[in-house]
Amino acid sequence: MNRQAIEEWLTAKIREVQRLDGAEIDVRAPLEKYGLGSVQAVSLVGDLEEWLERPLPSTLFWDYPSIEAIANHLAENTN
Amino acid sequence: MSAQVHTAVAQPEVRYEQAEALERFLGDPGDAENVFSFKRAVELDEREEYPTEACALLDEWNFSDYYVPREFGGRFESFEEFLSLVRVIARRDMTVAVAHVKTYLGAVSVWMGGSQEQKQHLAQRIKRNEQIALALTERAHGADILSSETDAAAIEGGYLLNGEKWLINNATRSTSLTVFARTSARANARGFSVFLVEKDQLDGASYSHLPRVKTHGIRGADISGIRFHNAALPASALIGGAGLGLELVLKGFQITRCIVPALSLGAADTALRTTLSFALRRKLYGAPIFTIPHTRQTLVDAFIDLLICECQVIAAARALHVLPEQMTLFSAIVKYYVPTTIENVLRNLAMVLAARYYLREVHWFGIFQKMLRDNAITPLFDGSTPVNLHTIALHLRQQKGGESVDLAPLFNLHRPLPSFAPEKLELTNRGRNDVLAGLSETTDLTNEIDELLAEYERFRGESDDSFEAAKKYCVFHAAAVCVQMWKHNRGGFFAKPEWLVLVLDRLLTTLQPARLLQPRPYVANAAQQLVELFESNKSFSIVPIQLAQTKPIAE
Repeated sequence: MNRQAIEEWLTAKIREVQRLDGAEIDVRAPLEKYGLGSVQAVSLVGDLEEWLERPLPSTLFWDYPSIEAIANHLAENTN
Repeated sequence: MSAQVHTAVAQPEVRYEQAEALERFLGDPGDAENVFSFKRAVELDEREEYPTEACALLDEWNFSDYYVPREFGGRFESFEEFLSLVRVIARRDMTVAVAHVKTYLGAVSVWMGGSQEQKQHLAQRIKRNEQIALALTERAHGADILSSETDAAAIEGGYLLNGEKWLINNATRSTSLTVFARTSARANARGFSVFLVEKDQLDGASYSHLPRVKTHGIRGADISGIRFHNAALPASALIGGAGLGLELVLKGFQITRCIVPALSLGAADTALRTTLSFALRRKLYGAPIFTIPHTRQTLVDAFIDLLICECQVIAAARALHVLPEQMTLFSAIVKYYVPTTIENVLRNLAMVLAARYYLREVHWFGIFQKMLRDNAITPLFDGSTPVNLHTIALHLRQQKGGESVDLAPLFNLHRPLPSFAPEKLELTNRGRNDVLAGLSETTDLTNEIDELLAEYERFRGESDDSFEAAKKYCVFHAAAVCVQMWKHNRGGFFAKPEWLVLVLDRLLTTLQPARLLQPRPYVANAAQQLVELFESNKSFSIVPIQLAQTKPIAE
């Protein structure tokens, strides 16, 4: 999965979960900016794993706390 | 539920023997001369006095060894056994349980994330009966722990700790505390760490205790605080690594959220026992009030609620060993469900006890009103009800059911438990709940279980991620736990499905308050079982243990 596809998926997911229909999402902003708390961020790992079909650490969103950072990390570490 | 049977589901094997041994050691709580008696508990509570003697008695029994894993010289083997011991203490005096067992909560970050040296070192302190506290919350921030202001600044060779922690159980009496502090400029999920702070290693001027706070219940407990001012910590005080604080605290909560409900179970046992004792002896209109159908129904309902809650606690304790990766959800459910259900149980029992529930003396020395006030702490600490409902609601958003797995290792109480492996705890269930998923594979009791499954399907179709939906989800989970407990343990007390039918009636009625029920003939059998457990001094339990009480308590 390439970086851009992951960014798009994450952007859509955060819009859906946070009920931010149509809002601008800055991929470089910390996730807290969109009201995504640390416990809630962890719960998105399961969705992302299912979509990517690969296991991910539950603290992924803590270590890469923006959409861009997650997408870069996952695209670089893809099989 | 046959009249003559009160053998346990599991013959109290090794895991419940120690609870009986502790009962024998502590003696009859109804005997006013005993150190650990109801009378003494009420007296200390009246004087807001710390239960020093009862804690010393536990020390004499080396209870602290149960806070230390076996590989570090302790006696801890399983949470199932540990919680059976906690219940023995809590049924006498929750203040003592909160005061003493706090050391496990203080130590848990070290058992999970500490180095071998830290573990050895802390084990020695605990085995010397020192108290360890957890310093997490702050006056201005409560559950919002990522707003914590206590700060540990890195300096040459260590850290400089500044800030105040408030509403800390045993802040003053502890010799060491695990302290949650900020270690980064950014207050995010990786911005905090946990430190093992040993008071005897600090400059005495670098910390001070805050006054004890007066509380509604557990009035003798040391609920206070601590303030650090440039307290110098060695680099070796850091637990696990910089930035691991939130992870350690959240995983530690998965354990402590299973421990707190055991306190509620202890309170509920005594509340039911003292109320039943009253109902059997109190004569109004020419007969004991136990013969009044409504009174008897209230007592049986309390018994059934207690069994439901006990199934949750035992299952959660075993799940820590068997399904650690699903504990994010299970620990939140047990911590929400049991304390709030027991609150209702106590209120319902108070109606039977009538005026005597309100007295701070007379019937059983007034222990009921103390238990009622004490239990009120259990929905609050170590993740309050809204915090747990939030976790459950997050799960609802992504629930995928679960996988069809063999649940016997979790529910068959004859099965030995694997060692607890804290590194297997996760921070999310990833939508899975294998216990609830197993419900659809149950082939017995088809009427009740089909009704439950139909309700569950309707719920899944309609539910959102609100707290109300989260509460309902807990009822389905609670039912699934009881069904599995019955399915995997068919000995003695569990031989007939009657108790489970009563359990499912209680739970289904929660979901559909308008559900009309024909009175079940089983209620009389359950009442008889309840009275037999009472008269033989056994705990109100699916695994009844022999209690120490030997003689009736005069009013």
